[in-house]
Amino acid sequence: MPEHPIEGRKDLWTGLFLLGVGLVFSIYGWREYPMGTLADMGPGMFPVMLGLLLAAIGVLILVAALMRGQFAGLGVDWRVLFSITAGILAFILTIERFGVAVAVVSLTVLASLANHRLSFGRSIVLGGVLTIAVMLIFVYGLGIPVRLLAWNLS
Amino acid sequence: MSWLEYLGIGLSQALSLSTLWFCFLGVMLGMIVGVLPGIGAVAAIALLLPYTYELNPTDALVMLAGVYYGSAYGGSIASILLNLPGTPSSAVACLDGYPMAQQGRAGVALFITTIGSFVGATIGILLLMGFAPVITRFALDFRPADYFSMMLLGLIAASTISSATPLKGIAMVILGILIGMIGTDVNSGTARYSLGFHELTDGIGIVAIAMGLFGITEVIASARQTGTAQLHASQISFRSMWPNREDWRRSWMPMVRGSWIGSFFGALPGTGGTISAFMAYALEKRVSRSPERFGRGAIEGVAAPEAANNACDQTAFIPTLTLGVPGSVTMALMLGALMIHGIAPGPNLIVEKPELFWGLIMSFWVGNLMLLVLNIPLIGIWIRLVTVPYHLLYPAVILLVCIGVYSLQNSVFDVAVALACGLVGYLFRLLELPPAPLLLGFVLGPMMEEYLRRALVLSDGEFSVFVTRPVSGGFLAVSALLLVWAAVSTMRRVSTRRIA
Repeated sequence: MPEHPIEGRKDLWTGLFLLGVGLVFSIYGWREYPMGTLADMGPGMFPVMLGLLLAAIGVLILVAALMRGQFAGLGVDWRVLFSITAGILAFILTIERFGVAVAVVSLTVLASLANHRLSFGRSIVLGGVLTIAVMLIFVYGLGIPVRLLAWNLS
Repeated sequence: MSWLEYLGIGLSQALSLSTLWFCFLGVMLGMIVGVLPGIGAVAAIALLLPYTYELNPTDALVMLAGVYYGSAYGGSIASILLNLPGTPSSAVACLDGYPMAQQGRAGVALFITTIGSFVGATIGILLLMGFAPVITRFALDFRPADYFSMMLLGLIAASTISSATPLKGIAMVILGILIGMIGTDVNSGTARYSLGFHELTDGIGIVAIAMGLFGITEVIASARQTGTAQLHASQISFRSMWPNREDWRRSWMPMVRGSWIGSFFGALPGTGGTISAFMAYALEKRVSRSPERFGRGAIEGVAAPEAANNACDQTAFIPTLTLGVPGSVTMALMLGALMIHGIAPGPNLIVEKPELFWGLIMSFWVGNLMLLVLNIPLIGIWIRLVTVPYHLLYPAVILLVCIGVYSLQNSVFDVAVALACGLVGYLFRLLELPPAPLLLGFVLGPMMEEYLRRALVLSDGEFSVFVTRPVSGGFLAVSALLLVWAAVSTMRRVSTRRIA
């Protein structure tokens, strides 16, 4: 059996992605912004042209992938994805409402779910250490206006 | 203004107290970042961008540049001691550096890489000083059409030369330009693609994209990795570091050759430290009288690549500072830093802000000297740093990203944008789409559109102006050649796969 190269097995998705994004940019641009003429370009001309070009490249990659015929799944690491996203979202939602301590610790605890080496207890400790570091370097040192602990539910 | 007077201005700027301090800070941070596997210069510079807002532009650039070339010194430490590169361009140092460590010659390897790095940097800076004014004088005559074609060439070169699939590289450039379109169109005042979010009317900030795409994505992709490899030499004494005469004799020509190779590839858009290092290694192996020693602890295999990647880091500034065309992501970030401070990059930079231009270049001398002197005595610290486990590091990295982006405008929206970029960046990685061309397209795209429109207005809609002007025509011709070459090599690969 001949060796199938690993590279390119996901191109089906890549091609679809580029095609989709290209079309979105160009169709949206076409409908919303005046194109003008080539000599006197409106705001829509450049993005629409580029979007079409991107879509065309997407089609090329898609066709090549279909002709090649081997497909692989995307291989998303859901655990890492969710834990890091959750951590950052926690930061976003709490930094202004509840202060640095809550934001940093929740980010650390949630993000460390991604890696099995860090237990819950240790991640809280790490969160505490990082909170202190943030307060020292960023709040006292660089003067970023956030509070250690707050209660703002507005 | 004579050349000597320029040097004087530059030197007085570089030796001023504040610039000296930021130079030191930059190179120290660069060393740390280089030593730590898991954070590279790109992420570090992106992370530092928000904090440079408060500084004056020269200090900001001096510090960021220090991080950049400083990391090239530190990256090889991890390569030699752990067989794990601290930065991508130091990967080659593993090949002969790690065997040297296994033979108990880690100290010598580390010493030679430091010297080699300094030699490379020296030659690179000299070339920078020599060529930059020449190129700038030439480029001052450029018209909009020439600028457009030049940037187009830069983008095409960057996306095709070092990419495995040039087509994907070009797609990413286009996507980058499109993302750069988000925001208000200067000519017409229309807000494009802002989807009703008024925060987007100024576009997506380069900091948010860089942090998300290179910081968050990197963490998502490597968060799972655990632990550290075994350290081969925990104690390295000064005595053990000094190379013997044989080592010196063997290393100096590879250092020189490596420097030239690195300087060449550094100035080209699209090629950088990694390619320089590999080419330098390959060259040494080919010209060596005993190539079988390579891979087993040949000192040339460590000296040449390190000289190459440091030379490359210096000459990379040539197109960036003289033409305003970045050849790599880090250079794009440097340009971003300039633009944040309201300075337009391009041939006019050297004319309008000579103290910035020459001050920066002179600071390279200062910084490299600092690295040379400080590297050796602090070797113990660097060795200890190398063993920081990644699972403790990455939450700190995410935190730095969040705080940094937040602090720009006290806005959680920005952090959300960075997160979105990080997630999309992860998708790119899964789809095998290279992110670097995207950032280049993002930085250059809006300017290119501007020049395109201006050129067409000036020529009354005549497209031929792009080929009739000799400079523009030349750039376009080379771009076309690159595209053809990329197409041919892609088709050749497709057909060999078919045969297999």
